[in-house]
Amino acid sequence: MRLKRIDAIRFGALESTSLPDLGDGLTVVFGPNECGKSTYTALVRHVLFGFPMGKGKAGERFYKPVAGDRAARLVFADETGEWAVERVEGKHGGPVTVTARHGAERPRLLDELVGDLTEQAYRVVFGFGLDEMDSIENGDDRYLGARLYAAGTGLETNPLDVREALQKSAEALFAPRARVSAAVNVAVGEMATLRDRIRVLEAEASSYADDQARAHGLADELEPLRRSRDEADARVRALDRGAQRARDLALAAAELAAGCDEAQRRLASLQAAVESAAPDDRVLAVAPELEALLEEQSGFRQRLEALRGLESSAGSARSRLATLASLPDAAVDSVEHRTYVDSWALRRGALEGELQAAQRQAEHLEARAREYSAPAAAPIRSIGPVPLVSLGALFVGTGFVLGGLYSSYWPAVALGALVLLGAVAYRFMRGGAVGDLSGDARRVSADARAARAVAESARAALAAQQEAWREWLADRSLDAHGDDPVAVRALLDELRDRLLATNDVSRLEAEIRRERDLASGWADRLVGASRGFLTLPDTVDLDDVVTVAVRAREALENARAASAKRTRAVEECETTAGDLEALRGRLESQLAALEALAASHDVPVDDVVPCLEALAATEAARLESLRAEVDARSEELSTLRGRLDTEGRDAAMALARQQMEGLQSRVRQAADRYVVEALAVRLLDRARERFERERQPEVTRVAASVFASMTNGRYTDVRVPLSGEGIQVVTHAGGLKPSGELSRGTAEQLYLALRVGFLASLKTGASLPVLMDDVVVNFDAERREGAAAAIAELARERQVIFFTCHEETAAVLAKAVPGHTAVSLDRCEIKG
Amino acid sequence: MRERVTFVHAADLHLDAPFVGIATDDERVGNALAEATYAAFEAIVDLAVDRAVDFVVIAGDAYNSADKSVRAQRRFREQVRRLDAAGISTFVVHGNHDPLSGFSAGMDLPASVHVFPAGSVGRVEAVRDGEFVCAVYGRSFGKAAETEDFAAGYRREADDAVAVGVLHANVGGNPDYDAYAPCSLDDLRAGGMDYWALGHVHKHEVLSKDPWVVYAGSPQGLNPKETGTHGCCLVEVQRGGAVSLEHIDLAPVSWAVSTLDASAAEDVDDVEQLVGRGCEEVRGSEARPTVVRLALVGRSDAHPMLARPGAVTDLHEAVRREQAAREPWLWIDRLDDRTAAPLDLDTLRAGEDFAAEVVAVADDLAAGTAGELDAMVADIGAPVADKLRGFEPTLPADELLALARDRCLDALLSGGDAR
Repeated sequence: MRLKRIDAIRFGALESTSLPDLGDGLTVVFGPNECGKSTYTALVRHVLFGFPMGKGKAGERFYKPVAGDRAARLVFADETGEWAVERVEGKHGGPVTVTARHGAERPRLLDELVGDLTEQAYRVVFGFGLDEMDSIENGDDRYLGARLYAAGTGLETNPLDVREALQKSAEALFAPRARVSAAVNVAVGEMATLRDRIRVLEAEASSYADDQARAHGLADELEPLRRSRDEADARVRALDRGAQRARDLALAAAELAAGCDEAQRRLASLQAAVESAAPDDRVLAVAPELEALLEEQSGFRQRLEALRGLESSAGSARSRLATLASLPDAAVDSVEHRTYVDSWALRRGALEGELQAAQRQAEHLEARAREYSAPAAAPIRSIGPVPLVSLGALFVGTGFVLGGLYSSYWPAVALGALVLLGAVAYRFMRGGAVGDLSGDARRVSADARAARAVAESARAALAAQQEAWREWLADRSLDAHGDDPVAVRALLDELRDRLLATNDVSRLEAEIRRERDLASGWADRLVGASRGFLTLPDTVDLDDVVTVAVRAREALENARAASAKRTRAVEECETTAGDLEALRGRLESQLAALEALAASHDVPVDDVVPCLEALAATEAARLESLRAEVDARSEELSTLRGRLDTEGRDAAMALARQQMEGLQSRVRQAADRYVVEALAVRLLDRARERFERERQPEVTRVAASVFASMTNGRYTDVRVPLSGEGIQVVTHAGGLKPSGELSRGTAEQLYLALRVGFLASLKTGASLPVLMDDVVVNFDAERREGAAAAIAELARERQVIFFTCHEETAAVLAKAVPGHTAVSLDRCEIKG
Repeated sequence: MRERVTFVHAADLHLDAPFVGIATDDERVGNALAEATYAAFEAIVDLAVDRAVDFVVIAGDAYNSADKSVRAQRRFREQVRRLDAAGISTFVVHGNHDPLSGFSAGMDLPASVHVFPAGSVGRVEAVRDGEFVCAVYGRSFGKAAETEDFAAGYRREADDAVAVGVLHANVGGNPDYDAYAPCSLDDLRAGGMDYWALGHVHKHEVLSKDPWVVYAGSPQGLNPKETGTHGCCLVEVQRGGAVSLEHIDLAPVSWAVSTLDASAAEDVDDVEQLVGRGCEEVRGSEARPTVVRLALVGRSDAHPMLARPGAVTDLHEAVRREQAAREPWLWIDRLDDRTAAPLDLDTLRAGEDFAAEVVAVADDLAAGTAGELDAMVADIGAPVADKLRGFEPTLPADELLALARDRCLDALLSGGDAR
């Protein structure tokens, strides 16, 4: 596989330009400055490893084109085909594509080409210019050279890296100088801590028997001490209580004494009040009676008012009676009288009616008779008087009977019955005669006469009756107003009024007397009861009795109030006296208690409080001392018991020992591992030393050979330590010379020789071309030829593209490699 | 006089002693380990009470005086009180770990506990139910390092129908144990005892059957090396001297060591399966809680993966967690990766590259004067020893060199992952 062409699509100043037809061996690209030699070198690297992005490394060129994104292509070819590896601008260095132009697709061609070669390694070994010449020893990657060198040792891993790793591993396990994170050191530290703890626990355990004895001793000491403390405590409390009690007693006594004085004053005041409160005993003596009387006062008032009403009524009755004083005394009103008057009135009416009827009959008959005397008078005469009389009698009799029955006035009934019987008899006696009358004139005349006779008889009867009536009136003195029944009835009414008035007067007078008696009785009793405390006249008018009652009530209330007041005062006196007594008793009791208290503490009673306080203070100080002593011993005992609490300690000790065993196990394992790691480091060092001394790898041999050739034997050998630092050269005289002491040109020759050595021994990157950018410019002609020979030798194994702007260099290379490929570049226009 | 005597022979209880070289952050495992020595002693007492033995002998090192554990002495007292309550006497000699001059919490022990004196052999008549059972002889360590031969002081009295000698000693010069109270079997035979109840060696061992000379061994293995059964001896001595012995396995926690050949493992998963199988094998042989140390060996393709930082630790943690969670628990104390890269050293030696140089240097060191390699290892270990007093690499120098060589080669040839 070889690089056939380089296409700069857009890369820095290059655009759409190519470096075509590169040779299999050496290709010398000749061109003036600014023709893009370095750009091509960088292009190859960037296509292989990616375009630098962002800030990139210091001094890194980005080769950004003026317009568009970076894009470049490398075309590789071998006998099976041709492939284009093209990279364009993008993330992570830009995406790369591999396109088969001929042959099978090889999408992983780039990986095959590059292998595990880093960009830096490529830059140092494969694509370098003058600027990178010394980077093989002094570059950013200080071990790059060493790793490259190690690659020449036939190993995949640099022994230096292995050593470093083993050293770190060993140091992680143990650090001779204190390093807290090393496993052994950490464990040793933990063991020391644990050992200290075990020592403490063991010390405690060692003193177990002594501690136990001391604990027993302390317990023995503590018991009496605690007793003394408790006793002292009890005494202090008793004294405090005594002092407090004494204070309380003294205070109480003082308060009680003050209370006694106050009670005494109050008693005196109350006694004065009792004395000053003098109720009227005269009133109080009759108070119940008086109170009972006064309760009846309203009755008295009512009675008095009733009396006034009765007297008024009686006056009215008397006045009415006086108006009837002209009435005959003998005349009286009665039911019989009234019945008789009424019957008379009826009877007279009947009689007068009969009379008038008889007269009318008679006149009629007489008229008829006259008529009969004259033809016209005949009918009248035919009417006899009998039926009329009988009819009248019947009427009257019936009236009397009914009236008597109605008024239960049996004489009238009897009279009526008699009248009825008479009428019946008359009818029977006269009726025949009347009936026998005949003939008109005669009978009329007869009738007229008879009628007249009847009329006369009626008149006579009326007169007789009137007389009898008058007599009856006279007999009864009822004739004062005449004999007219109406007048008589009026008289009877008056008589009745007189009787009623008389009766009223009598009744009222009786009531007046009774009421007066009753009122007088209450008044007398009131006056009698009040006379003892009220100044009253011998006789007190009833109208004044109310005043007396008011005065008596007032006196009673006053007396009662005064009495109540005195009673209360007396009661208070008694209460106060009782209180006083009780206070005095309590005072004596308090004083006695105070004395007893003083006696119990053997202190004077007058100074009991200060004495007891002083005693309490003394005892308290002693108590504090005892307490401190007890506390100290208790604390010591507690500490001892803590130590004697072997279960916890022994468990802790057993745990600590087991932890110690674990730590020891762990630390020994770690230490064993450390020994192995450290031994491995030593083994490695020893092997490296011998390897460097006895078995220079191919890279060094080739480099030494090339270097010797280039320097024409002035230097015979190259010594490269595995560390990659401190490269030395061996002079033809056998002396060692550090690379730093070489001239620039000689140093560049050494570095070129080393690169040739590396390239000869490297297994990786075998298909990659080596791009050198005028790296022999500082060589003298002799050494340039030597270098050209070395490059020619290299070009036999690898594809080499050598850029130069020096014709001499191109000529020397052309001479060294006759069949080389030559490419000329024109100075391109700088676009970016 | 009884026709036969039965007793329990126990030794090296080492109550409350830590388990050497064990680190555990698992609470359950930690507690079990902390209680293991106590549980073992309690099991001994249970056995004595259950079998109604005539007495119990404890042939030294009941506890570590240096640990100053009051708890150990108190728990010891608790158990001998149980024996006392059962009418069983206890005969105790003190050994190098609990010499009479050592730390004592001053616990009052029951009258049935007979502690033999230091300085001379004491004789005590064991009595059960008021009847003479046998004569018990013993001598305690007065100090930790007794280098005197105690055996010479043990002489059976002529009237002893049965005689038992209790001794804490290194009989026959066992190189794995301190040569305290050193004596030989012949020395013991001269004592005329029917049974020698020995202590000091933690592994049960019958040194002789005529007379019976027996190490009871520790009832609980105390470090990863003390694998195998641990417990006490149940002894029956017939009148006339015939002895029958049964070693009773009582250890609550066992120890195991297993080497796992990882040659066939191609990756970490294979190694994990290998470790799982190794654990199952341990479980198959031990039906009790077990502490095991596993070592992966062999040149394996998995080596580079195991060599990565944290790979073995992660594997160890994962498997350990899983095994510790099961019942009974299995605690993988260590998982050592001693695998190596699958390198052909001869081929490497034939090469010309740097790896060949490494192999050559290692070969030269290994073949050269031992002093050079030892000096190199000592030089490396010296600063460690300064910080870690008494440190000496666990492995011999040549093995360390081989490991270091392989380490270099791994790193050089693995493509750079040296860490």
